[in-house]
Amino acid sequence: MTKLKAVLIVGATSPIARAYADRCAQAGHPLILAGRDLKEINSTASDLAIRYEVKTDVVFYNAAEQGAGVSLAKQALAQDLASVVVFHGIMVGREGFSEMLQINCGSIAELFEALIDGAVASNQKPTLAAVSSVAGDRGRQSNYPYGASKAALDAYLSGLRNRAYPLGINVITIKPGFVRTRLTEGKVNPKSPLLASPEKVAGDIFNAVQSGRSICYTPWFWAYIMCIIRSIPEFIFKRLKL
Amino acid sequence: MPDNLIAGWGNLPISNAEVKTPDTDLGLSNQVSSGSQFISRGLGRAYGDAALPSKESGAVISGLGLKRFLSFDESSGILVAESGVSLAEIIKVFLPRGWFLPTVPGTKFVTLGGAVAADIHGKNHHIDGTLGVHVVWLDLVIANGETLQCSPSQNVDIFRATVGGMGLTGHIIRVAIRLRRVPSAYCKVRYIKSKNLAHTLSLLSEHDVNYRHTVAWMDCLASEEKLGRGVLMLGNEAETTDLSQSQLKSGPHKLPNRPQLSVPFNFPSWFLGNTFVSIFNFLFYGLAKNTVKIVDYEKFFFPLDTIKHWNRIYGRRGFVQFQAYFPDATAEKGLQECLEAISRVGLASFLAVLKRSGKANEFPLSFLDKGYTLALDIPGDPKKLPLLMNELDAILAKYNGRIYFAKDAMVNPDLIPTMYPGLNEFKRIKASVDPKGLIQSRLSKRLHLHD
Repeated sequence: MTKLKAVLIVGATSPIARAYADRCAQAGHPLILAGRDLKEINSTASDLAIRYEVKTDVVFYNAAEQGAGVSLAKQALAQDLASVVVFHGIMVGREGFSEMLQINCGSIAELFEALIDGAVASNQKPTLAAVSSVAGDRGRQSNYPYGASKAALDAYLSGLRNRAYPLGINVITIKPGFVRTRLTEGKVNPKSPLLASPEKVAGDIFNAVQSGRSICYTPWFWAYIMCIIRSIPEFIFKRLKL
Repeated sequence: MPDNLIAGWGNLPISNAEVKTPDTDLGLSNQVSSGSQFISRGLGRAYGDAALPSKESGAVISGLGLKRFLSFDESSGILVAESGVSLAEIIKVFLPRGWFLPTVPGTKFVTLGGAVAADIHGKNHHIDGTLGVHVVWLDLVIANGETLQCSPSQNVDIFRATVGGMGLTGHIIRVAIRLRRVPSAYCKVRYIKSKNLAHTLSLLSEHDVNYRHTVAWMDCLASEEKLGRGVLMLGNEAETTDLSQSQLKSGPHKLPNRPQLSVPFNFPSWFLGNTFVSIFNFLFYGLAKNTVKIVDYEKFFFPLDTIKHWNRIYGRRGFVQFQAYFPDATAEKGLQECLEAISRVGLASFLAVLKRSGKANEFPLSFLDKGYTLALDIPGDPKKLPLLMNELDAILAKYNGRIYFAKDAMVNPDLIPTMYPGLNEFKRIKASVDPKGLIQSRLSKRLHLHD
């Protein structure tokens, strides 16, 4: 068996990222785990190294720092990269809009631009994926600043996909619905059929990366739910309490 | 079940609970120190109310968000893991590499933290003691959110009260445990049929020096002179020379693949009536032979784990598990009367399991000492069960018996101080780490395990 290429996982403390890292390690990929909380990420790295006997590297990365993406791209491209998946994101209220826009879109753009340039220079073709949200498909009064930051990310990824296509690099937009994490604990009924486990979402992401999809709703039924929500005419939508 | 109802494995009793599952160290310590009363919970395999909140809609902190392996030292066999990892995961990862847990309970679907908190024992108790004596150290998040490392040489009292302490001293977040090298994933098992209770006991005590793992399955519906007849299973670790060609070929540490069966729904409550159980026990005993076989670990240690949700065969009303320990001197009389009481009341128990136990350890709430321990399931018949439990309580009191907290759902609380002479010491240590009494379970409240 040929040695598998490495997988870069950014924002590696999130439960979905942890489940995704598990999935990749199980498949035999060496891992580069990047994030802020090194203690937590080191625990995940030890776990996967023990379970699956794969090489795991841990890199400090703070999405709020200017230039962090450039430096991370450089470190990661020192290895042969199969794929990069970005999991980090924040959800705050209206007062934090510019911060959300920066973390949820700006930081990812900085990282991906550096990765594309570096990949071309080192003749690599890693798949690039970022976790957006169904909330980016249409702004709702309950959390439109978050939705707007994810919509910005969606537009960015769509443009990047267009630009990277001739380079042979695939870009994937991941759109999860409700996932059982800290964000939904206490807000969404734990037995709701709409609530997916981090493992389920991680499996879908893994398959999307393998098969070279462009946009991946996870679980799949969100594609249909969001299709309906997007098609409601604005003169009706503005009267709804969503 | 509606959304926020939880229960132990016996589905009796059931509690309303608010379950939180922190997935970082910081999240866990914030949750513990939030100031509200709570109890920790793992995979919910304690039978009764040990991992249920002490009051309606109380908080439960699940350990399942933190289940990573943190380090493993090949030379010493010391594994450090987060407490939410299950014994099944440990076996899956380490048995193929030639390592096994120092002891295992009858199911592998328990968390490491829960196993330490209940100080679980296995078929090798008479040789290897409980799981707790193999713990090198543990990290405990106490009620104020602080993390204390506890071991036989650091925070010694807290360590002693935490092993077997049913989660009442704090939330065990990490455990360092010494694994043992094993020659294969198989046991060489000798089966012996016994004629009655006295015979079962004498065979167990005769063979316990020669076999690392011993257990007897007893028929508790057999009448009169046959009461307590059963099949002894006496096992030692199989060496590679004991294995067949095909077992060696697939690897001596590899467990055979076995389909996972499942009980899809709660059976009607009459299902496990006397007739069915009598037929089952008759066949079980009748088909058994005095023989020696090579049996894989999965089948030897965890026979019921191949059937997911087996607790559903008891139906919606659930069941209680009764596990009692009796010292050598009174074991025969005590066990005899327990079996007679069960058969008189007519609450059939599927198989009863009898086990020889070795001497006690230094943990004040640990269950076993030199003697015998009997475990059996009793269907949750709302009328007959309380009557039977009263009778069993009286027998326990008369013969210095003791119940196991991880199994209990309804023992008479007045008996606990006599059963557990270490209780006062435990209470003192618990009060020192949890002065406000923030950590309570339905069990600890019912049995007054704290002031």
